[in-house]
Amino acid sequence: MASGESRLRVQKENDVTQVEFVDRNILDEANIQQIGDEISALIDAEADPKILINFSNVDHLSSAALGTLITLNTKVKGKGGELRLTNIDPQIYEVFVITKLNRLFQIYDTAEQALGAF
Amino acid sequence: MGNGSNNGTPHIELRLLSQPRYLCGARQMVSAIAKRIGFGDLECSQIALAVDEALANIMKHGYEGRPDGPIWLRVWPISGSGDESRCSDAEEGEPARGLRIIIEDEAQQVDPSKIQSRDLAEIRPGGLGVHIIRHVMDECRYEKRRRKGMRLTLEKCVVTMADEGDEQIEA
Repeated sequence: MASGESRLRVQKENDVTQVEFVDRNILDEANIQQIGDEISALIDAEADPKILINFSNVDHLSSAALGTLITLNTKVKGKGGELRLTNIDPQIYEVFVITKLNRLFQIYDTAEQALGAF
Repeated sequence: MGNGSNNGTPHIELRLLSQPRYLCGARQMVSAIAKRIGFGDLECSQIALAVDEALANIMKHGYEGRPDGPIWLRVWPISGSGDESRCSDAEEGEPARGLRIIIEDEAQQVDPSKIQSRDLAEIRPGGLGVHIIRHVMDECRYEKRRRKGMRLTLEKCVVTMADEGDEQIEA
């Protein structure tokens, strides 16, 4: 993504920061650096970050995006917080399974379930 | 100009420069072709993902982020051909049962034996792309091109009800 415009929709509910993506092809090699930087800044802004990333508007996830998620998860845990993922399309979830990262991340079917588990 | 190892003329040929903004178009093209060949939604997604990962690796590692490196992506239909091989080149007019995709570049060459996926027990960013490609495709073969650059051959065949039955018997 060449522009400095945010590609995220962010809202805070109670103490949970919810992140959604603006366009469907957002998590490929062309955008992932900016996305990672933006979510990282959200983590920096919280003392005890509780982050919920919603994949409902995403139809592709690259290994580069998985790498970014691993980095973000490490950062959140380093601050004693929690990162959760939700609304992952079955075809995208398969990428987590192939790489065995479904065992690392806390993944929920719906945002309500994820919010209830914080 | 790349020169694929296939003798036949590719049915589809795409040349792109090593810029990540074109990944989206390549994914969509390959996915749409796979759908037309008869792959299911999950398999279309897998093929598009494999192509995406392969192209992204070339851009990031092969060309090291250089934006002007040429990449050729060529597609052939393949079909079942008896017992010895599940898939082979489709004859003219023969229904396709799968896809062969050859991706070539003029980037730095790498010993194909060194192109391996990493141990998934290590939780760290990077090194997952090759694992994903090998996992989702039936065939994944890296070669050095004669003068410069690399060639990656990917193949995947449509899984039919008969194939699933054979696999259950073999299991």
